[in-house]
Amino acid sequence: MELAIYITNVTDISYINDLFEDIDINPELNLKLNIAKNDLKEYIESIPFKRVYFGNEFCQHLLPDINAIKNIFDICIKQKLNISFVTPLVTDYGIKKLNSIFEFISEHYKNTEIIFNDWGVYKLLREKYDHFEKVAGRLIDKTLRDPRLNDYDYNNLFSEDGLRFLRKPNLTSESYKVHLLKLNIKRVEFDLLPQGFDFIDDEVYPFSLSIYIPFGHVTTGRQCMMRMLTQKQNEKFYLNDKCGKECRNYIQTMFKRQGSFLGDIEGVYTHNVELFRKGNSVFYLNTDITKINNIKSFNRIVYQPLLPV
Amino acid sequence: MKILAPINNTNEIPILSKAGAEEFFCGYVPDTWLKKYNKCLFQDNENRFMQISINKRDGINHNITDLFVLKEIIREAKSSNSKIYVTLNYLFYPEDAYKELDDVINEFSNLGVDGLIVTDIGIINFISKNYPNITLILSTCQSVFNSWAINYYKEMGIKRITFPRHSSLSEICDMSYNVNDMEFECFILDEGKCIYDDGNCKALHGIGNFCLEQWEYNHYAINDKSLNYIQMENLYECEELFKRWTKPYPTIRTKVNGWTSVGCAICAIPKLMQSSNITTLKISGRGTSVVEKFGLIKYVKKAIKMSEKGMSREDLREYGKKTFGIPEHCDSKIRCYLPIMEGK
Repeated sequence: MELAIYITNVTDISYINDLFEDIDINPELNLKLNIAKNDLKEYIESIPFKRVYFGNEFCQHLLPDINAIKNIFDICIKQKLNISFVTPLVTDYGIKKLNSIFEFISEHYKNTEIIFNDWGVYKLLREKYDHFEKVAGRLIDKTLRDPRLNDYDYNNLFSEDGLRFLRKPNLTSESYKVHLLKLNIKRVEFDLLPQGFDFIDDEVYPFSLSIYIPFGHVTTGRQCMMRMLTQKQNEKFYLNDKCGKECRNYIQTMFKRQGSFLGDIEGVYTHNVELFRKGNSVFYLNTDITKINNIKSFNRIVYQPLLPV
Repeated sequence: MKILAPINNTNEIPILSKAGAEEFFCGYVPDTWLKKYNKCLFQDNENRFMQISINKRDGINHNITDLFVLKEIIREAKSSNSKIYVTLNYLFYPEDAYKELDDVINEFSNLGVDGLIVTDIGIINFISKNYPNITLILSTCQSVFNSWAINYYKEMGIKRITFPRHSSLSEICDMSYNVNDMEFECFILDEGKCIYDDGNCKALHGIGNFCLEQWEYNHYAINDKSLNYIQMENLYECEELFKRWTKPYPTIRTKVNGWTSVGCAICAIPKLMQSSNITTLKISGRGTSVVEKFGLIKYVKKAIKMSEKGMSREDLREYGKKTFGIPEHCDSKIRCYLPIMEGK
């Protein structure tokens, strides 16, 4: 088992030195995020810290520049920490940006592991930078999850087979495993699903699995509420290569009181659903690591102190 | 350029063919799947929804559940020289589902469907290996945003790729020019636009569309104590626009000129026609009535003819404004789901 810390911005560099540094982004949000951190502290402290994830999975506009990469990677090397570079879904514009980044990393940090979240990026790596270890990132996993449902709903709304379906990723299928092995992929990554997992190690053999905590993604897309802030009127929805990176400045919370989808059963289920929108993505918070307790294949914990955008 | 249209029953084929559709797609959910993976069906005022569908549509009414009907559809399509594709594009399938999947694919193969619309990498690999004669069309749910991804899927045996809804016209055209030996289809009309990406929205549709959910919002400035007035106004304006993109009319059933809200990209047709690899224009809407489908197909067919006659993007835009009404939705790009870069 190893612990990795995932940061998406060079300004968050201090977390490498102090994993449990107090989160200080906004007085009202600090409390929530620090509670999540404290919930996980004991668990995280029990795992050897060996790796740093840097980059971005959700937006090609947030790919770091070479200086930021150098800055973070040099600190990792100095502290004898392994490095994973995280990449997003990209257009051809993003492929060009990544190509330059891979060229630089290939020359200076050859042992870096690359997390891909786009099969086009995998193809680029295989064709031009095959020496990198390639890891199927969490966006590659398409398992559905829905934080609007609570445990009661998951357990009562679905048939036994239906719930098992939602708790088993496609990595359990022989056909997908054979394909990944052919591509020389050995590690596959997941969010900590609200519904949990229901498979045994044999079903995902021989793969190593990573789990991201405490933030999991519900949805993402190229249309971005925060990018719109810097787009001209009537061009708010244009998908071009420009972005003012306003997502670095704001977080939106989305809140609702959710009744059970099974109907009104007083007192059983009405629960608060609170999600976080940052940039083009919406995240839930899940610290219930008991959901992976019995699965040894989860041998890497990717800890995100902050929302990963 | 061909029009690919959704169908739900046999009777629709001659009607929609007459309107101009040459290819059709539908979803089929066998009874065994329905019973095994669905304990109860969610219900709103009009529709029943599955908890776990075999394809990307959860609505029972949006799928065919009777094998006899599917057989009839295939027979009718073949007799009218139309192609018929079946969707098998749920985002993921665990190993446990392969028994039912194998049965259903075997059925499709025996019935002679012209192709399957697929998403999951495991099932693509499975079909390529076990049913090499079945043509595979990559669903929009695999979110192909770059040319390298196209080449990756080409290696997997994919013959046609459906571009994601969230791509710009120039991106689509450039990708189609960059790759040989691949057909592409592109959404041209969309029954309901979504602000999120089909392949990366992991919420369960059956319990209600995540994008239409009502939330209480709060905005926070990072590393700042509070938002100032201008920041707050700008954020609320964008939030409002975001909602408008998904729901431009007061309700999803509001009609203007006889049409509910439609995402439209017909003014892109002249540019799309310049790429010989973009062979098909797709109309989504497995849940819409045959009357609506008929009207939409006729609308697109006329737009294709206008483009063939050399009419410009502006001409087509005017045609769109006149058809759907509320021209402001064209001007503000709220109706436009395929964002078109001016000047390109």
